[in-house]
Amino acid sequence: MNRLQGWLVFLALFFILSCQAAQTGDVTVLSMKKLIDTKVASHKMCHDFLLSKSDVVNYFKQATQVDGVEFNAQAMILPCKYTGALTMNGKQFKWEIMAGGAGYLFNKTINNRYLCKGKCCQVIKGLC
Amino acid sequence: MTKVKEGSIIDNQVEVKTYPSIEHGNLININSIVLHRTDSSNATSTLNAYAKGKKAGAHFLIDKSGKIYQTAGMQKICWHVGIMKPRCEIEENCDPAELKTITALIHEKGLSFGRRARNLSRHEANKAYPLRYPTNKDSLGIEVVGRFNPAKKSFEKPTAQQLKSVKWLVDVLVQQFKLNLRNDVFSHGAIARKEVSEGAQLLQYVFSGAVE
Repeated sequence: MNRLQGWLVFLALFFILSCQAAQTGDVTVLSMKKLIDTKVASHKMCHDFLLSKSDVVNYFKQATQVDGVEFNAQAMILPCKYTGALTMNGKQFKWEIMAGGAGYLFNKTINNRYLCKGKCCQVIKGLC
Repeated sequence: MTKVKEGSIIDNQVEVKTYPSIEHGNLININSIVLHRTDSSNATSTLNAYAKGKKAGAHFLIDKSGKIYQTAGMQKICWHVGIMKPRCEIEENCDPAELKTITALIHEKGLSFGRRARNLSRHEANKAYPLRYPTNKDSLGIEVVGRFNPAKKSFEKPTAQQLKSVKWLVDVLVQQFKLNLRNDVFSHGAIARKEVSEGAQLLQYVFSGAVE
């Protein structure tokens, strides 16, 4: 491998790692509050649903982003959620994380869906 | 003239193109219809997912243009309902023993939220319709294309063509399977652990001919 090829490999690796960092980058939770929809059946199951700010950060690093079709098929929407605002990579979003592991991240231009599965459920105790 | 032949609707308003990946065994009794939204902005993403082997899906899909696709045979079970809510708890008519059982299931210690909701759904599924909400084993599903807006907690308003098509299709199915329009047609969000607003606008239109 000559010097030019070496630089190209380095640049390619740098680009790939930068993209990964952008996807799971810095998350700062600006606000959070717990909401329970008392009009929905079985809402009393929500009393033991507790998330911390670090759980929210971990959620958006560990949860899988999915498209609407997959979210619609797999997400379980329970009547308990945490909601608030956060910044990710310098951009501000509103977020929701529901008991069971479904979540939203959105602002005026972004409307993303997430599911917490596998390792994500192990990292965030009591979510799934 | 609309006909139903071997589980398919024969009408020039319906394009029949079924996907084996979303068909799961034989649907013996059809007691009800469930109205869904796709959380997508076009039919293509749903059809592509079916073509790639997605297992969950519904019997019909209505695009924004109002075009109706039949995506599974009506003699086949589709996985479209998901985790059911307890009907008697919602409608506040459980007998005391049943309410005690439901409460015990949702508070069962040591189990995750998902497990408790699934256990309660399984318990519901053992009841006979209409004591419970529809299951995959006794209902047809109609998906209507439309994206969910988490900020507004609502789905985008169905187009006029979609509303016309869903009403036409529901009327055909109600007549074909001798269902009761008021009692046997449900919005997905009302019966399952989904966004409460899913299908509500469609049901409102089917019942009243208008949407707020």
